[in-house]
Amino acid sequence: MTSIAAEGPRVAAPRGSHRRGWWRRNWVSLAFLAPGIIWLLAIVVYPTIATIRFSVYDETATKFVGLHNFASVFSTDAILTAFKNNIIWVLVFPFFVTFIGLMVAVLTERIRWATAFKTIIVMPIVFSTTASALVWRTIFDLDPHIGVVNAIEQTVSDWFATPGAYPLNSSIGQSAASLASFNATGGPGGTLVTKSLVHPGGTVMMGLTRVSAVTLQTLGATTPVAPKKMAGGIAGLVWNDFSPLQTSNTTTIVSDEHGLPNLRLSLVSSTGSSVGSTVTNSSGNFSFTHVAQGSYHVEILGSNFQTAFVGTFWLGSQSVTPTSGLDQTAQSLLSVPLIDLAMIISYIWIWAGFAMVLIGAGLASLNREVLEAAEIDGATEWQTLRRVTIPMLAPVLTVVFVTMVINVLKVFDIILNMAPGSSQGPATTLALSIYNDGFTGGIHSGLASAIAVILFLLVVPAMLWNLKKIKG
Amino acid sequence: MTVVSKVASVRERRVVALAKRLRVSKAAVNVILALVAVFWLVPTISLLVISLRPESLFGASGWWTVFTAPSQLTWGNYATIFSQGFASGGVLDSLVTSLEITVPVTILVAMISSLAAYSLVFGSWRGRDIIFLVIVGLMVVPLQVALIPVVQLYREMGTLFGLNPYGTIPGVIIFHVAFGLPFGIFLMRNFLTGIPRDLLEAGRIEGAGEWKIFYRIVLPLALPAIASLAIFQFIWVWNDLLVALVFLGGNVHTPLTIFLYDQTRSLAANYWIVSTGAVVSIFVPLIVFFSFQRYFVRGVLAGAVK
Amino acid sequence: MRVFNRVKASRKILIAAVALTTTAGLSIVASSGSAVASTSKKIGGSVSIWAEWTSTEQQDFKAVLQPFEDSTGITVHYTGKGSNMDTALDAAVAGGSPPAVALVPDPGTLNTLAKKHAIQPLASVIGNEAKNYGSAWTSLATYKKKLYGVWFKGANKNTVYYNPAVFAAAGITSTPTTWTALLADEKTIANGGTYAPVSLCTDIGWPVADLFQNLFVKLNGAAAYNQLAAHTMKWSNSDVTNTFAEMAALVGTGGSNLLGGMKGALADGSFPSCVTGVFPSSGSPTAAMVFEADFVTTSVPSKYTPGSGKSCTLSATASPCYDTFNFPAPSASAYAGDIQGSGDVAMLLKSSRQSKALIKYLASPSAASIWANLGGFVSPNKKVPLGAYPDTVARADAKALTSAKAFVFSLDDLQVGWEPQLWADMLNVLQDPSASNVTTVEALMDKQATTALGH
Repeated sequence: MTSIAAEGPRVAAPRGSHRRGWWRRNWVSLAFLAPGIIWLLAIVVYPTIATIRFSVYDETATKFVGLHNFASVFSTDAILTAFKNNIIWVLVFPFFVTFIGLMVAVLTERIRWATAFKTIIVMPIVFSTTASALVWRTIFDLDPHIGVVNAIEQTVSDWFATPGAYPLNSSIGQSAASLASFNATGGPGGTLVTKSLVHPGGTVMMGLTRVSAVTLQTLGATTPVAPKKMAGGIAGLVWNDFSPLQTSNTTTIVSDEHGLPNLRLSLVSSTGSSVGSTVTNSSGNFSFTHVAQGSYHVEILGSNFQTAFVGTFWLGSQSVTPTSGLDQTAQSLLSVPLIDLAMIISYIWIWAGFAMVLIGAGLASLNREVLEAAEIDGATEWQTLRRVTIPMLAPVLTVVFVTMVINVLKVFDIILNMAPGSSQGPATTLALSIYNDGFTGGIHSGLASAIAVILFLLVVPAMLWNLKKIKG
Repeated sequence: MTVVSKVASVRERRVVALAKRLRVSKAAVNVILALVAVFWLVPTISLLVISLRPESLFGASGWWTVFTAPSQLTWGNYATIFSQGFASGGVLDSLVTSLEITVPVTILVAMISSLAAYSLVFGSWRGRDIIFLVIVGLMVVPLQVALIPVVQLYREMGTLFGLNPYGTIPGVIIFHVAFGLPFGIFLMRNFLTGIPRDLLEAGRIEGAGEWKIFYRIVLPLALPAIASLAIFQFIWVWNDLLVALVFLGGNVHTPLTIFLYDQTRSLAANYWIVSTGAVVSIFVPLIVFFSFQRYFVRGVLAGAVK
Repeated sequence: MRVFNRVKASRKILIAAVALTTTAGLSIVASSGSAVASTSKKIGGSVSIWAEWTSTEQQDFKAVLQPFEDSTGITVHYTGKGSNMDTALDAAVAGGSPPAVALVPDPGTLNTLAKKHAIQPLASVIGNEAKNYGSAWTSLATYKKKLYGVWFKGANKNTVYYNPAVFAAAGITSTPTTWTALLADEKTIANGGTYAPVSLCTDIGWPVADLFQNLFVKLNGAAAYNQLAAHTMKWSNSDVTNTFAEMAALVGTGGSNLLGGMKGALADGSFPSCVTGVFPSSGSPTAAMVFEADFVTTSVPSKYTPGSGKSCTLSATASPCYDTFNFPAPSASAYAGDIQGSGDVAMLLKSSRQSKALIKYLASPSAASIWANLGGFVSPNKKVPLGAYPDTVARADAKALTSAKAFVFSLDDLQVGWEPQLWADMLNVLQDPSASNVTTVEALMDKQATTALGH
């Protein structure tokens, strides 16, 4: 085998043998490199060039179309949406993941259970994005019995606004007025008020609909009883005016209907002031006694209908920025779908460990004396972090940041697996568009290749920057 | 630094003050990090719990109620998904397929990268740096860019050699190896530059050939880096969905990621079964991770900070 | 679920086996005997076939292939591609290793492949069996006057699935036959307060497109429908606008008729999870109806029995039922009998004795009868006897499909090049049916269609 020590006499060597000598010295080294180079040329370099070529040809890859495919990229709303989403990812994700990585890396130095902590944070990196997306899909589920985020929201929301006995379903846009069936109409503040006036000694009946049988069962509702007149007082009934036996009958009591228990009522005088209050019993009956002469309305208080919590549709495409009044193209460019934020949170969960490990190592290599000197100098921890640690860590932080930029330019499987069908389109990214246009529903190889080329051009500067940093 | 010039008593007072401040914040730090740790554990725990709760409870109550009613737990979902055994389309078949793809890719990438990096670091020919830069430059190529042409390249291979890797496991392996190499060579080269040339020179003086030097001197020293690379590669390929989706669409055996993707696609509501599959899918990488955690972390570092 | 389905599938196969030995099944045995006999010389060898069917449907299709394998000695390698069928086939054709036979769910792919000469003409292969199909079906499998496909499986989208017990609980005694009656029933169910009238499938938009297409053909007829499909009618046409208005009425203001409201429909509306609201596998239903094609049957848990009646219960574990009614048309519509559907068409990609025999077998009534018997299947093949279907729901479905006055194919499947955009547009209109938004989206759709179709 060759070795430097075994080189022949250099001075007198003719040109040809010099070259032969070069081969002799280096052929083993080149043979070591060959498998890698061949592999890369065949499966990475050649296909990349082929894709660039496809991007200027038509769908059948036979006709040169110049920049036509690129023009369609920028005139197709769906692809503009993909661009927009990639921009959101790039603006939000790398910053937060680096910041969180820095924070936990700095703080971990202070605890005894650092190893356990780091393990916990790093673990998600080894999960497939497919599995992680699945987990987070359940965490953000709309149903508070499934999604832990909405369950927490529900608990908090119930503290501030306890749902009434007959909570409105705001997910289908219910209002108190939409429950009114007989002798009831929507009043101020989400109340229901009798249409007719009632006087002492008289009776009043109010029919409601759209009350769930499950609610009635829970409240122990019984068959309604027609109210009986009482001297000097007002007797009445509020009942669920819906019977499967007589669906068209909406004025009288039918045998299988139910009274509405636990309704808080108020008696309102003609001047609009409340002169008494009561609560319905299990058959929906109520009475106001010792009522002064005059004419009154009965009011069902709004608190009875206090809306039950409806989950936040975290995985939906509704925009967190206002988009009303914008045309289609402006909308696809300016809306920030909520699911993007949910997915970014999930992705931070996956990648923060990566940032933490890198930054942690950077910290470990810092000059301790400088840090200690700063602290002893009386700088607060925050000042030390901001003035000393972060500047010293700058190279590492940049590397983490840029690596994450590159990562999210290519973000793909979290969207495919986390977004419900209706959000797939609004949450799409460039990488996902390449897959969808290139491999599903009829190959658009020209268009997909054009997107791929654009993605490539976006990734290159970030990567070069990173490599320069790493080298320097 | 400036401290040196200060009066000793002032310095002592400051150290005491600093110590006090640190003690206070230490408690706060413990609490904050404990909260962060809990936040980070919730998804994993939820996945485990959902996979261990029966279907009938899924939409009826939150998985977190299990902490007050542990009797909810059952192996039922696992019994269901394992009941198919190794039949194609089942989770165990997918587990085997994932291994069939991941293990060869890992070995090939580790071998080829080490050889190439050795050549780039210790070779004496000119232009090594440029080739290295070009290879590293290939890290920027998103694999989406190569998919369509590679599918066609495979077809050409079919017509030329009668051997079409499309739709086969080797086809997926070839693709993964190619896209694992730039990072592999990058990582290995960065590690190998840290090995003093003197060690090699010593070997050369003793008359050892390049292969022997690589095999006897460099490889043992590079073992930690190779381990890091292998773990990385293993986890990447294990978790790949896109490449498998494109190249293995036609195979009866599909890796776990496709198994999960198919299940989520067709049965979005049946999370309890899908979660069970997900637990199976994260099991192998977790074992790898916990067994080689040290190397994993080292790999992350070698990869990005030099 | 794949696993659960398998349990269900084996149960179904058992039923089929029983059926085959009873009188109802005798005719099938007779016909299948003759069809198989014509190819009965043992050919041997093997043939590969791809289709989208996985899990239950895969089991059912394998049951179809079994007699063919037995009588010809040909081993059939079946691969179920699920939602990846298009992707896989495109890639396989590009990759040069396509299966010998493939079944695709849209005529668009058939046209594309015929244009590329990737599939073979079939007239000489299937001979007389070609006459088993109505002209609408034949023209959908024809490219440049040559027949390239065999419609093995059909899907009737003219169906509304409902839970009879929920209808009963709301006091609805007969299913709606007109559009007005359907809207009135929705109101009745909503007034009951317990159940949502509709569990709407949204997915990535295709079920909404199906809903739109049903409405459009019922309101405007097959001729207008085909014009729209070919984009010789503009999307900004008032016929389209009117159809969107009817769709909005069905859904209710802000999705008030939908399970979980608009949000819920978008969050949980992927197919088949939207079916579980009406036919849950445990607990009680939360919605009354779900609109989709007859393949919904496959997603109804096995506990449910077809038909309606007094014995149907609300509990998923007692004796729950499922039933269908025809998608209602506006009462005075002349197009009430026009129906929309889709299907899976078998194509020959690699010509061999084995693959030709398989195509011929798939065109025969006997092959279709086997799956018909297993349920969740309708055949566009007119020669398949109604007696082959296992229950009244399936029989009514099959009859509607083969005897329709006019049959139109799912319009979205014909929009090669912009189908996903059409779905997104449908979701857009669903969420915001205001006149101004409808105008905007219609203009956008015209633009998209022009870009994709070239006119």
